[in-house]
Amino acid sequence: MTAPLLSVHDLAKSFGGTRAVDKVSFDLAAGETLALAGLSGSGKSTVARMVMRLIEPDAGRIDFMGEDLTRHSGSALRARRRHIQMVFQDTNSSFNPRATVASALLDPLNTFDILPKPQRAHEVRHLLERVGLSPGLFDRSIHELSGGQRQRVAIARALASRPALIVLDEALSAVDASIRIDLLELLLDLQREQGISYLFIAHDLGMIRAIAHRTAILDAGRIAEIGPTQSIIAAPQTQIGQQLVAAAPRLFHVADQP
Amino acid sequence: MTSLRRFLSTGEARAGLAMLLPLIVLALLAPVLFPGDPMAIVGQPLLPPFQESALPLGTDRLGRDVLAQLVHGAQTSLLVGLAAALSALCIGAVIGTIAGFGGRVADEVLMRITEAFQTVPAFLLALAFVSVIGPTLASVVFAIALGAWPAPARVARAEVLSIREKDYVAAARVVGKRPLEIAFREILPNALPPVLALSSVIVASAILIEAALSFLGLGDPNRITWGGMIAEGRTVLRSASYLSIIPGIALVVAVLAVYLLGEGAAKARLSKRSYA
Repeated sequence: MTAPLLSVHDLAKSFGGTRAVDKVSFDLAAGETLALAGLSGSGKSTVARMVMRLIEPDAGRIDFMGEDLTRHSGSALRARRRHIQMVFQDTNSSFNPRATVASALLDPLNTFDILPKPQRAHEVRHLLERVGLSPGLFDRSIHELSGGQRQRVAIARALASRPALIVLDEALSAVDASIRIDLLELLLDLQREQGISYLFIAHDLGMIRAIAHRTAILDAGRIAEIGPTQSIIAAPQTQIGQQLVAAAPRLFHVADQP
Repeated sequence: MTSLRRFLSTGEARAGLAMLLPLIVLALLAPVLFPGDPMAIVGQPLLPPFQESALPLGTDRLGRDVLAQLVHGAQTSLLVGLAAALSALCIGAVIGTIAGFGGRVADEVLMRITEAFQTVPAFLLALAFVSVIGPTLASVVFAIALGAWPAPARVARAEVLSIREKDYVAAARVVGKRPLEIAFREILPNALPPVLALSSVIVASAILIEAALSFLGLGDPNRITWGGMIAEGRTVLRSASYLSIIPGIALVVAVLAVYLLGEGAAKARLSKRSYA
């Protein structure tokens, strides 16, 4: 049996005496999508940010590609970030207000020293095409783009370093339903082509059903239940799971649109 | 509407520019308009203004051309004002950024130092510094900047504390940027607008402090300054008050112009927000 790509053990975090995440453990295999679902304040985004080491965990281990990320800092951590990228929810605030499409996509290529310098501009155009955007957007300011276009650039930025894992923190929650379906299809295509794993944070099971192989439902910072997405949706074992499923039928319909 | 057009559409900005631009042009053209030494004796002493066409603002008590001194003095006042403000803004922005981004220890240490500087009046600090180091143009600029950097530092820190929580800063960490690169390339440029808003106040106060230092004989002795001219006229204040009044008016015009430009910039920013 091969080792999981990401293995989180007993992750815990408190903010000012409030337990936000409490002994969360899960595994994620290469090429797999694990969804973290839950209501607002259940701790799913905190887990995502701890996995990225954007928030320091109080306790626990984050084994990624066989190494405990919590033991790394400084340049060692920066080097490992090449393989684990993130797409944020808010397409407005996840880009520097002064950024252009080119500068946003060149950043990971430059910092991780991917490809010889003269080829990087070409790679940016290729990335834009790969996420369904025109290479003509190269010099445009990020904030001239629509929300859907910005989120495609965010996905392109995450892809630029050719990561093994992308953490999608409510990445599709803030875009229109029609664009959301296009982006879900894009993510599925990328996974099929490149074998990328996704840690998919979302609060609605409609999207989760369309993309996630397995789902963990968080409640008050703890994993209430975890298992194959179809099983969780068909027969949720916990009250919070039942609540989320009950809230979802309308969204299943949207996600099932061709 | 572009930022420049919004700025120029305010009455304050137009009035400020109408006053400051002639001063800047005169300062830049000083070596052309009045070649040679402005301290040279060119006529009889204490010639009142408008008596002789070659010396329209008259002469001082040594027979030196007041207009030539005024124009050369504009160079010093504007140069010191701008250089001191630029130095104060740079020092303040860097210290504020490190305090806001560098963690709790750096923040505590730098903010206590900032507060220590703020407790000493800027003019006294400049006076003490120039007295110890000696009056040169560079020491006067640095002395003024020494008392002016805490305000931009505090504003920069407050902005950085707010910006560092934004997702694009987290995104910069995710794409492997180093802390210094994040602080000075991602955060600082976005923290600058409110810091730059202080520039007009700093320039205006720098011009006044320079004039006050010169008045006390602590300006660069090799340069003509408006403060020095006022001090020079003090000894003949009753008989030739124009010697103090003319550079005094120039000082008021320069400070008022810079202040009005600052007001215009603030109005333009407010109107941008209301459009947004």
